[in-house]
Amino acid sequence: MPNLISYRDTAARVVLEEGIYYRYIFDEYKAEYDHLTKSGLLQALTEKGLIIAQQEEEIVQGLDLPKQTQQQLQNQSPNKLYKKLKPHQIPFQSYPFEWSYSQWRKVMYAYLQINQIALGHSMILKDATPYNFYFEEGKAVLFDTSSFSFFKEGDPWMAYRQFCSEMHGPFALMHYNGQRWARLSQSHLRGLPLNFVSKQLPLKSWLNMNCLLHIHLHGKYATNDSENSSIRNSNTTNQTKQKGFSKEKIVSLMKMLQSTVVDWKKPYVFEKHWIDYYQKDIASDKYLEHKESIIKDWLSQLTKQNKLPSILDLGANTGKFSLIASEYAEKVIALEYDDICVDGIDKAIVSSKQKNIFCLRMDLAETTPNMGVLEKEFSSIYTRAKSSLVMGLALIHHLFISNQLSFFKIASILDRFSDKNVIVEFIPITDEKVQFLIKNKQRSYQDYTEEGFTKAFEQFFQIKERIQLDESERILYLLEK
Amino acid sequence: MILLYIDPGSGSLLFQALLSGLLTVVVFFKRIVAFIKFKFGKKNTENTTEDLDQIDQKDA
Repeated sequence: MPNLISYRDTAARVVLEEGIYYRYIFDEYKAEYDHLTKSGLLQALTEKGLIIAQQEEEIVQGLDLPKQTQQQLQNQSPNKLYKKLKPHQIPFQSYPFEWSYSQWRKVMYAYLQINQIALGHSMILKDATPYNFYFEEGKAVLFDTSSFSFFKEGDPWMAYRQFCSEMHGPFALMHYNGQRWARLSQSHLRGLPLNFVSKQLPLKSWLNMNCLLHIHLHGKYATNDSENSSIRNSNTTNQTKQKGFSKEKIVSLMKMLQSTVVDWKKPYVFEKHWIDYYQKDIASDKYLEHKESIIKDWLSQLTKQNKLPSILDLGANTGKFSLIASEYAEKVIALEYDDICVDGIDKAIVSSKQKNIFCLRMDLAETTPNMGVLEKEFSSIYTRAKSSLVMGLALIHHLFISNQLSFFKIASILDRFSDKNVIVEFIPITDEKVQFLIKNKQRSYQDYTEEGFTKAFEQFFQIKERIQLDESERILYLLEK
Repeated sequence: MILLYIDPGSGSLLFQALLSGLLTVVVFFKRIVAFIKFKFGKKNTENTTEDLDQIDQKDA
């Protein structure tokens, strides 16, 4: 988890104390927090798995607080702490620009669902950011407990603009123009300007009521210029009182938005050329069976004492081997380059018994770096996904040929991700898939040899085992640092 | 007083006034439809707390 968490929040602060994350609720949030708990809203959301589970802990006030905690609380007076919450520790966090379409859709739906339930308890989320969500067991979960504020009849929806620019806008772009648009969020951490989104969307989006209202027309009215926006606190809601919503209206609005999310099941899909690659699947049953049995064997060897804390599956494709690995680890992180495949893995997690898998879209040659303010808001994928075992199955030929990475660079990547072990599959030049990839390439691939492969990997690892797979020229390696 | 650290943008608030007007019409028709359904004994099948996965499975 990054260091600069929740630095903008004035109601609470997330703090790291002896390796555990806590959320300190400040005095000024007392009324909201009490209502959240006493009205039964928090319980209702927790039972539905929509909000992170948490428990209250004994609070230490003032100068008795550990120094590190005081530092992290920064400007907030240590004497004005109301509650100390220990949330369920997030096993793995991915960011919105790493999500597939179906993951975005789940977050959108969950956000609107939470708001509707909250409105039933006279509350509403004051933020509308996808960064307040993480995934567990394939479900979108809100972890910002202090994001609730009171909602009374006639109040405006304060998070509306943020909703449109950070959630609805990017999601509409993905739906109409392809999943690739999620990546734009990486360079626009505070959302996309609505007039920009409006211009990118196709004409047919004007026929969709939600796009027409909340993006196209809203984009013409809303100003992104914060100098023109003088509203900073709820006192001014007196002026905008007549411009707000009744509860019935705002619930109706949420329902309308939610029905669009439900209707938009799939994104626009461009890439048809990979269909040939996957369809011409040469993988014989014997090859797959043998591969599976060796990997299970190796996993059993590595987990004789205990389950591994984490296994990383690079180039997870359908998630087949992530699912196998999930029985041998506390968690499995599946990174996959292709958006459609990530959607497939996400579906597989939901329908599988093993739900300790986290999937996200990642290009191994363009990984998520440390980002945000002072490069401390969001962590590099190398930090988040580092695991005791890294699997690189049916992967290295893609990295070598499509990404033009040398074996040394590939080995460096696997070394950086791994704490100890690597299982990697060498796919020789004579392999049908490799031949497909090099078909129209100008360069010679004389350096693409097993010798070159082992020489590069031996600079980082020891080769523990090498096994040729049945009915294939592919070779599995078990490596150790 | 709630300090809102997210700047809502005054343009968006004005736009919400328009939305509110539109929603008056929507809510009006929804009430009529709900009344008619009630009169014909149809149960209210709207369930906002249904999971997305459940909805997708039903539609599949």
